[in-house]
Amino acid sequence: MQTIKVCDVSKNYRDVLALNKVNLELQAGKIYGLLGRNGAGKSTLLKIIADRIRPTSGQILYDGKTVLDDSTSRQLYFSEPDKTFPELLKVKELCYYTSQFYPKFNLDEVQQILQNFGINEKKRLNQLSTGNFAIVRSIVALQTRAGFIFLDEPTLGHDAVNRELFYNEVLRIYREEQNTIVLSTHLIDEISNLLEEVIFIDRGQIFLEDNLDNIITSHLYITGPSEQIERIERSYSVIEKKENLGFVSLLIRPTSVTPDLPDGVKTSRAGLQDIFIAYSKKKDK
Amino acid sequence: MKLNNQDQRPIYLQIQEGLENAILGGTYAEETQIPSTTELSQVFQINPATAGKGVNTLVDEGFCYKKRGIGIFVKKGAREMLKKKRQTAFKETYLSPLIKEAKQLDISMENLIRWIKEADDANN
Repeated sequence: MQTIKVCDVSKNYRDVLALNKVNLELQAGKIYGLLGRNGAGKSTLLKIIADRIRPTSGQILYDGKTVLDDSTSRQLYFSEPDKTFPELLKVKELCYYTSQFYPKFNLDEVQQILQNFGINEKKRLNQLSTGNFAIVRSIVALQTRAGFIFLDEPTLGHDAVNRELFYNEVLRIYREEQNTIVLSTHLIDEISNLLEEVIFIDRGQIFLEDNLDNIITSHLYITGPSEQIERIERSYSVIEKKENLGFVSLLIRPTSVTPDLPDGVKTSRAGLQDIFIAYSKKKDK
Repeated sequence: MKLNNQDQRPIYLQIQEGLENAILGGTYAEETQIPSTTELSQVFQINPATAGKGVNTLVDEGFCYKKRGIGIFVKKGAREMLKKKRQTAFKETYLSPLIKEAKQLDISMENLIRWIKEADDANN
């Protein structure tokens, strides 16, 4: 499968509009970050892409086709935090059943990896802690080595050491398979180094979608005394304005790489998290 | 080579700069191989595409070259070329902020030059 296209997808849960005319194209061979606050619509979008729920309107195209048939569904795997597996299933059995559907699944390798995380594969899923269940489902998801892997909140409940191990595992599978991995999370700074593409979602709408480096290089903080900043403020599209102690800081999208600024005005780069927060606040107004 | 999480510049630029420093410092001598995209991705836990972008910039700027099927190598003469590049950037990166700060503090040019000489003597 080469692309998955989300076309004009909306989803209502009774009166709540969870997704509002979302358009998106996911390409083969990239790591995407689907980033948004709690309740932004991340999980709803992923569930619709994975065909677990139906959109209220709009459609998903898998290489141009509207239907997920048997061979294309083997090229897609969706892992969600909700406990959708039979809870009496043993870890080992979950691995075995998954391997029956995904031919690249390597049972010996998974056994080794779960050992590295200190997880006993003889345990039943309902005997695992929240953190360990998250590890099991994420490791199983990655091991499917499917062309498109969707991981919804993969690190929910992981401790710092396990998160690090997990991120290494994401990159290892990606290097070996050159597949598409979509990580949905609100822990933005932590995963930003893993990403190639970023999708920001808020209140059911995608408000920024671009290559990570483009996002970082196209945003800039300018900081200086209030009167200086106010004089130049109008020439830029301002995403966020922060004032404190006579100084004003603007997050802008400059049109040139090095904008011409008056003396006393300093520039600094914004991180992905800063940029995300700025856009979210802007939408609040 | 180290990545700095506080440094908000794109990671590929930090990779590029780190490799440049390693070439300048002699860690990667001319005509020897620099780390592969895979190695950089593993060591720094970054997206391989990002690592590749950093490495490719060195190729594009003519400091390194690709040997097909083997990897990326430091070009002969790369150290001198890199020094030239850094010298050109020196004014912008180091001198301009230094002079700006000196002016803000009413430090005269004579004083500044004298202090630079004194500091240099102290280092030797």
